[in-house]
Amino acid sequence: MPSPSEDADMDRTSLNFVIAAYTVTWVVLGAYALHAFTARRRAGAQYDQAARHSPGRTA
Amino acid sequence: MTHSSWRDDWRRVRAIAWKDLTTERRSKAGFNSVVALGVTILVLFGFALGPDAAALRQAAAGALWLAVLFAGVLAFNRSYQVELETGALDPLLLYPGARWTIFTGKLLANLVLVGLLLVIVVVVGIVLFQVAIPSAWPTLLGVLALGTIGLVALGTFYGAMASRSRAREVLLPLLLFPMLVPVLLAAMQASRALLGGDVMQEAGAWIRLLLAYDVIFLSATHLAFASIIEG
Amino acid sequence: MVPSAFSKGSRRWAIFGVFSLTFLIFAQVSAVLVSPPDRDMGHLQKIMYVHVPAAWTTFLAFFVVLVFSLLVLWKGDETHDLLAASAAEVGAVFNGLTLALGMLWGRPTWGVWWTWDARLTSTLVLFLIFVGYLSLRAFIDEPDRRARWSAAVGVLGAINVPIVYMSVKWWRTLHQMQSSPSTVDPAYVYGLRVNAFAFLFVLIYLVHLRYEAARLTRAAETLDDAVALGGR
Repeated sequence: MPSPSEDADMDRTSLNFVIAAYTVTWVVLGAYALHAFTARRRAGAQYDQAARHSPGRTA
Repeated sequence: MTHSSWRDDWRRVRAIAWKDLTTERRSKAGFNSVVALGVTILVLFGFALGPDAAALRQAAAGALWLAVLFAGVLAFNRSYQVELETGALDPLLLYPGARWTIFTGKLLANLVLVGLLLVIVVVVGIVLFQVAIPSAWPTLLGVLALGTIGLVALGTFYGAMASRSRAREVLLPLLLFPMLVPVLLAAMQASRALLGGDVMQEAGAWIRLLLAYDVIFLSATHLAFASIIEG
Repeated sequence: MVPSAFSKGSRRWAIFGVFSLTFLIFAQVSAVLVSPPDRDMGHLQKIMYVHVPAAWTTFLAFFVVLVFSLLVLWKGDETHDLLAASAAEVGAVFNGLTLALGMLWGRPTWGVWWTWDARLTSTLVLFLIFVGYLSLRAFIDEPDRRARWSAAVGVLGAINVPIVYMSVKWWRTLHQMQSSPSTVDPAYVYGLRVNAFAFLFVLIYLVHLRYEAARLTRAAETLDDAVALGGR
């Protein structure tokens, strides 16, 4: 049977893994969302630029 | 479909396969290098896994299939090379007849070439890896055939795309290898089981998987070929 | 300034984006607070609230790729291709996340970062297949050809997923029973379910963002082509 201190040790280790998992989730999703927002804005600007130069299609 | 249109399709298939094989025979250098590469890879696997004879024998099946795979990739990319270099693909598409006949023709030509490669690699591998030929060798031949068909079906299909894109050297293996996981796994495991006498009676299950894979992907690639060969 | 064709409903989408983010935070906090520590797994059970929904959304995203790739092959509509590509990219991100979270769970539970079990391995192969799909798209410039080729690759890749799974399963299996609400302790059903919805909303929003960006880029290219071909 594990002693109480061993139990607490294991608890702390597993808690660290849980924290790591949630951190990874937010970092990955956050970074990708940032990439998606930037790409969306750049595409919008590219479209406006093209629309301004195109005959009869200027918004 | 009428009888005669099937005969026309078959004639087209044969013409394309024959053209590819003739081109390959006239320029022997290409196929010879592919075979030489396959044998070289086998030797390198020997260095990685040997020199212990028991370890070599255990790993022989995996090494043989990987050597055929790596050398085969070159054959698949070469398959469309001649048409691309001479601009003969567009006239080929202008001929009347179903598109899938082009695919079947190229597939048959590649089957002959990769089959030849496989035979040579297997013979060299049996010697280098000190493999004893099992009593169930006809079944083993069946496994080799089924594995080659799966390999060549997808290789010919993805080769049609990769060879016409930028960076074809990296794109073909990148697309092809993950798709071939089931066929490689099944072929390696079945070959290994048969080489070891198939004491666990597991080769049968792998052969059924190979059969299913071949049927599914032969149909899927034939159906999808028309939409990737044009344009 | 966003042109009118694309600003339609953009306010609603922005609200949906804020809602998705809020709901994701709510789902994770409430799941972590509600669930008691597991008898065997302790705190590690909480990793399942992100790992399992990430896996589910991955498969959903690739199913969308399959459906819209089939539509491309059938009808040849460009918007279907852009939607399939957006779903493939977001799906690949969720796929990578699933693998990373699975490792973070496997290390303390099994003592290894990786094991060659059927679901782990086939998820990795799926990831590689769709990395190939995205690379193929990056290497082809002509939009029509890109649409048809990647549709074929997407369909074949999706067909292959169950076959890969079967083959690896026969090859070797050591994995706990599949995590779905029916096989999991009812105390955790709430956490899995609410997080599954949160991930679903995030998936939808991200696919929408990528799809919009792709459509704007294509529209800009079309306009540029029109100018080059005979504008003023």
